Amino acid sequence: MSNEVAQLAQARALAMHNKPGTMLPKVLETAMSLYRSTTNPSTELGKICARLFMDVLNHDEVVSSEKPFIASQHLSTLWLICRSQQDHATLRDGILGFSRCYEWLFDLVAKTSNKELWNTMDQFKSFILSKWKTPYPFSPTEDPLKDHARSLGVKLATVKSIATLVIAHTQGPPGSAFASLPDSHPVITSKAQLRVEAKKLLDCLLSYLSEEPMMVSSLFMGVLNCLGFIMKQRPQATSRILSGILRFNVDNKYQQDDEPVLQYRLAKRFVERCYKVFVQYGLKAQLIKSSGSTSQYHAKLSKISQTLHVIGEETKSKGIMNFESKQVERKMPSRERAKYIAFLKSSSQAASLNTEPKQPRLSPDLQLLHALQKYTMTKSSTAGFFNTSPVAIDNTYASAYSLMNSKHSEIDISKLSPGVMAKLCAESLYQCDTKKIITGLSIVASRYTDLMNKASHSEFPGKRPLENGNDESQPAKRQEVAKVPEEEEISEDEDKQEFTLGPPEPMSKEEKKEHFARILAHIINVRNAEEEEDTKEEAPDNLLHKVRLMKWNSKTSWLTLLTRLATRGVNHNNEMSNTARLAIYEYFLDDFGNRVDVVIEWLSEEWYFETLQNDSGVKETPVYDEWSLKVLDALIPVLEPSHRRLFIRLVSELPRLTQLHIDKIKSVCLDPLRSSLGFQSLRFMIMFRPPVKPFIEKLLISMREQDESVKEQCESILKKFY
Amino acid sequence: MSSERNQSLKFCTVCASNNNRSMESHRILKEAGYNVSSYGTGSAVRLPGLSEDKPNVYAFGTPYNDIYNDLKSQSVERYKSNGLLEMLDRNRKLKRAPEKWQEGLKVFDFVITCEERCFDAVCEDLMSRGGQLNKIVHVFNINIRDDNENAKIGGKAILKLADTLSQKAAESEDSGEPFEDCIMGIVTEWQELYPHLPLLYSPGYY
Repeated sequence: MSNEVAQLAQARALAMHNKPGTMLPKVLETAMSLYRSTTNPSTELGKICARLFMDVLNHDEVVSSEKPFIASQHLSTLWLICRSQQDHATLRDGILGFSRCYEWLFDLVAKTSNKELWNTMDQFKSFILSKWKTPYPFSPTEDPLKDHARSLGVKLATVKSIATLVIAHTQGPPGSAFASLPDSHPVITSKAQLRVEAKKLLDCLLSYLSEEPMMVSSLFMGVLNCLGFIMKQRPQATSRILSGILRFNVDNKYQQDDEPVLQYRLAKRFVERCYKVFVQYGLKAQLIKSSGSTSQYHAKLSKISQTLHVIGEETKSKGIMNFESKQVERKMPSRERAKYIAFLKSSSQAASLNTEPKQPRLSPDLQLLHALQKYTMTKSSTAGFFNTSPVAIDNTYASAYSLMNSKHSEIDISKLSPGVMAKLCAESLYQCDTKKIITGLSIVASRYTDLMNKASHSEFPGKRPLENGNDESQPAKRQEVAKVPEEEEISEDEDKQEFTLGPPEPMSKEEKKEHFARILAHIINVRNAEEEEDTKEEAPDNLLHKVRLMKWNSKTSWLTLLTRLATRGVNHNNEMSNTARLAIYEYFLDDFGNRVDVVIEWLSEEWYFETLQNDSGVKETPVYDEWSLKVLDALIPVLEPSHRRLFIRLVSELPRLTQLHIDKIKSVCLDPLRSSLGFQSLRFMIMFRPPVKPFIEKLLISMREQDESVKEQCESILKKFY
Repeated sequence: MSSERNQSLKFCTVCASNNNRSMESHRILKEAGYNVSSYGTGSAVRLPGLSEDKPNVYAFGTPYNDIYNDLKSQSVERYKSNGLLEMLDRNRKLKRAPEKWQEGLKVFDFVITCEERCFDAVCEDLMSRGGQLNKIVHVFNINIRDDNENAKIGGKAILKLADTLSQKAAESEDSGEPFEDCIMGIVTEWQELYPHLPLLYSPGYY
């Protein structure tokens, strides 16, 4: 026995170097014949047969046109080997061999109507698919989750086979076997059924990525590679693949209990890299485009790819070994594990039930689930919502949970059959991260609590007058008799009374102040925005009053907003409007040398608005006066001769100056170091602001009498201009 | 026996130009008795030139001997001092010319790249080939800085990885334990030994 295997191994080695094109097929034939004729063939023999099968199919010197026939000749023996051998390497190579020749054989059956061959292919396929998600050829252990990472070679081969089947059974380009297959083929009787099966198999790969709870990195990467193959061969499947990829969350995968933290960390890093490579491949091959059906995925996947790259670079620069074990470690909590195992059992029972009806029919449950799926996809865009404010539309729990969604979805899940409903709920719960569930439920609970508190608060004042009325209307000595009707009346009212949600409480003064301060902060922050958006659209004549906003400049328009907010928006409330004024005032003082424009514009608005409000004839502007005097009070003590231009501009452009304003300049004139600045501004105003001339005369006379040092200057001005 | 066993596994080393890192690894693995090839993933072979902003550029397939003579004709003194002549002399003894990965048709069990961009290029290329041959390949990246000293350090690390993989593959043949189930354990142990050489891994399909 072993002697024969050794001879075969020698023959194989020899054939590899001497006329492999003709010798290898002969060695393969000899090996396969030996296997069929041997009772209880050894593992070694099975292994060498599987390997030879692959060698022949992949060797360059074996004539390509002969390969399908060679495969056809030996497939039944390969199938016999795979179903009878328990060796991992043999199975892996056998499954890969089947995948290698599947499309050739499909084409051969299509052309020759070889029913026997087709039956063998079908059995082999069913066998392979039945082993997916099992540790076959090994026996399951007590820990099902650990089994997920066992027999990975066979699983990688199975994934590849599934990809091959998806490609072979999906409509391909003209000339492909499937495209050429007539609907009335005598042996391959249901083309449509094969197409449906292909979609199911594709979903099988996609759901593995999103549903597998453990970090089985080798298999995740194997699946990503195979999805790349499918995308390339059958581009019409790209959208489905990409939407599945987006549900693949590497961060949610758990560490095996006996897995070292470093291994888990490396595994995660490997998968993230593979994800990035997959996206880059799709982009370069023009399979993921920014236009067409994949455009909705293009931006998201590009962003994810970049993020993963950055994460990888950070990890590398920090040092692969430099990490906190406690932070990285992520083992599955016992509760989750128990849930998942229970789910596995129930789903396996459901699966066994599902296999009984062979004909797939679109049951009402499926229709409803499809509708739900469509709705979920539409939710990704906000186009459908006219009101984006998330407020519960009524007091039902559903509304509290989903806020404005309840009316939009219009899908009544209660119509689903109890079995499907239970499965759907279980599936949702298992796929969610525990922390997210807790957070979500807490949010809903707090919403509901708030809702109930508001309701009870609104009811309370309504009850009180009723009770008071009852008490007052009853005479004192008839109390004992009246108790019974009182209770009855109250209960009746409660029963009849319809529930109404109370109106929201008006904001308290403190809340208003706080809210207004926040608004001011936002407006002031606008000035820090870097982008200047000068929209220079021409406005129609009747919109002239809106031109200012249409020519928005984020660096200066904020002042207009704040100014008009102070002068018009909230002028009915002194406290709030003064808060806005104070914001501008303080902004000016921060850098008065460069911000005199700001204060002039603001004070001009103040003056203008007050003038509009005044009755004809009255020219008093108390608010303007108050704040302009404040500006002078703050400014004058810090003025220096170098601020001459600034100060003169201010006094020349302020819309209104009273005697009080002019008198403020006295301290500048009397200061020996700054008197030139003071007197210059006075001369300027005398020449260019005639209305204030009398005020200045009064000031000059007063200063002349008060201080001997400025007497000459005062007299010279008085002589010249008065 | 061990030499024969090693020969059954096909290794491939990859860098950008198939001149320094991949060839140093090629030499080390070959001398250890492995069946090894090497490639580059760049668009052309780039070597330092007389000035920093003017590298020497050659097409893949240009014999190492021709490159060697070209550099000698430019400046023997310069290229001897920076080690390029010695490097090319080593290379021409190993094989005829640098080869481009994307054009290679050989099939390997293990591909070891020396730079992350090369790792990405190899993985993407395998995806674009479509997996027609249905053969599993294991792709590793060991980040090695592209200078003489680090290429030698990296070469030894790659030999260690190859030895461990080869040994485990042989054990799998005898015991029936799946080789693929052990890879994550192997790379974890290796990473602990060489913490300053970040490793990447991905299975692929030819």
